[in-house]
Amino acid sequence: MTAVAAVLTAAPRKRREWVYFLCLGILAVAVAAAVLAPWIMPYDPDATSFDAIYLPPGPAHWLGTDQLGRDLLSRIISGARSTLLGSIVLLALATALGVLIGLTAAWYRGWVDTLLARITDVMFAFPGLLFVIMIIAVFDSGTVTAVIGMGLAYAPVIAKFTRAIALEELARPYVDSYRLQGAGGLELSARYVLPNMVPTLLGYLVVLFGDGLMSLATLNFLGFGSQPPSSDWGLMVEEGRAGVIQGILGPALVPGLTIAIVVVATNVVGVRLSDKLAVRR
Amino acid sequence: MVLSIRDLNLTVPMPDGPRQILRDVSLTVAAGETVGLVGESGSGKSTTARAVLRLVPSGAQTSGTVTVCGVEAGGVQEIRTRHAAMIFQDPRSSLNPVRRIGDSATERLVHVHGVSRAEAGRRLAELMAEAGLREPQRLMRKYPHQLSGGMLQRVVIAAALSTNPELLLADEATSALDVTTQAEVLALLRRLRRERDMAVLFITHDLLLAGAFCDRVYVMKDGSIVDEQPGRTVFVNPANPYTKALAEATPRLPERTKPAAGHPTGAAR
Repeated sequence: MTAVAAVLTAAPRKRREWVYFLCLGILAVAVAAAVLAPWIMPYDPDATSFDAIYLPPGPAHWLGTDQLGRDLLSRIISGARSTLLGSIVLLALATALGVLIGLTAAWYRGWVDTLLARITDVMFAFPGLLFVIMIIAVFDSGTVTAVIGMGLAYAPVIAKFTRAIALEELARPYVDSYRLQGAGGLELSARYVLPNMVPTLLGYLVVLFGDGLMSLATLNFLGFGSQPPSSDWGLMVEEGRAGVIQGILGPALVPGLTIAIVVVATNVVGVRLSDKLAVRR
Repeated sequence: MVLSIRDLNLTVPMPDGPRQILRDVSLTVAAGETVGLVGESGSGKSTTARAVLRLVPSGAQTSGTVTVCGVEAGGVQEIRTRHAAMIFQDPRSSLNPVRRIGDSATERLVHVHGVSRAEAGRRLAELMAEAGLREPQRLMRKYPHQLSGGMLQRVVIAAALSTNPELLLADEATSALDVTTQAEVLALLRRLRRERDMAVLFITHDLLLAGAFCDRVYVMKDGSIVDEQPGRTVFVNPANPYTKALAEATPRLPERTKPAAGHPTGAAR
């Protein structure tokens, strides 16, 4: 059988639906944990107990305890709040800014486009993390500074993406019809063109959400973001480091794995969402 | 003259220097007349039509005069919204994909002409019925992706006619449709033109179609008009060497076609 025939007769690639639904479930659990945190936490996440330091997972503490005897499960659940909320605010800020810049560049073209492109290029050339650390050095470390700084760092990425899909959308004849009616500029772009870009944008934003969560966790791990006794996942990994040296992996591994699982899940869902929404176009 | 273009030049700045897209283009379209504008891709036929509505590329420099119903293209907005309407090649992207057909097709009446929403809807429904669409009220509640290309192009034509334009610019209006639908839409355009005494500038790359559909045909090449002939003779008896070359490049079916054995069309005989 020739190669071509083999390709033609091969069974269609099986879509791994269950992976997608599993990841969707993981995200649902994470969001539910964040929303319901005060009611489902088995212990006070900040309550220390010196009789229960570095307990392994067991019936009393499902995920064990950390160096101060705090329940890890409770801390993961309460940490879901600040971690997810931080990523959402980061993304909302970056989206508002990025979409505005992208649409402006796409509509006006010319020197406006060139200027904005140069600014975003400079931001691209500069590592996002370094940029945020600089901002934190100028202002102060803390959750709010970290989130705003990361939002600014992500804006150029979204701006580039928005500009690209806006250019494609603006070339469509229905946009000409609006132009003929006398509409133009950001009003036309935001009111009539943006709604047509939402599906494409949305899939991309879900992928970026995982990326943002990771970056924010990194900042917290480095100690530039949330400060103790916050149970932010990135900070939890940092605090668990002390145990790793003593051979106790739990306190660092549990939040680390949680971050990894949530990020992978958002990626799978985001990519899948982009594919699904792209088919509709 | 409904449309009169005189010595239109258009230059677009490019990274490697300015490029002239249109060279001394002059043409006229009278009321009730259908005029074809034929040429290969990139010959400037679309740019000419778009220049009438000032839909020129950004940074373009123009010279020459364009008048529509005696109004110089300086009074742009009036031409754009009152005297002329344009229909495009792809009906699927001619209407805003996320809005209901009834909403986007009546926008011009409502926003520019100050007609009430209900009245605009009534007028559009009437025109859609005239364009051969059944149950226009029901169709107006649908989204563009729920309709076929032929139906959408009828909606677009109805929307274009809703403001009673004296001039219709049809930019490859039937090229994206299959042959049967194309014939129907052309018949519709022909009927509407006759009933309304409308001037039509019909842009196409198909010389045979232009000859059959238009009273007069202009042939464009590299931004200039190289030939002008009555529609009757343009394909049958092309005088100009370039028109002749275009005519000869048109594929023709042999005298008799023979369906392949076992092919569905063979069984239908």
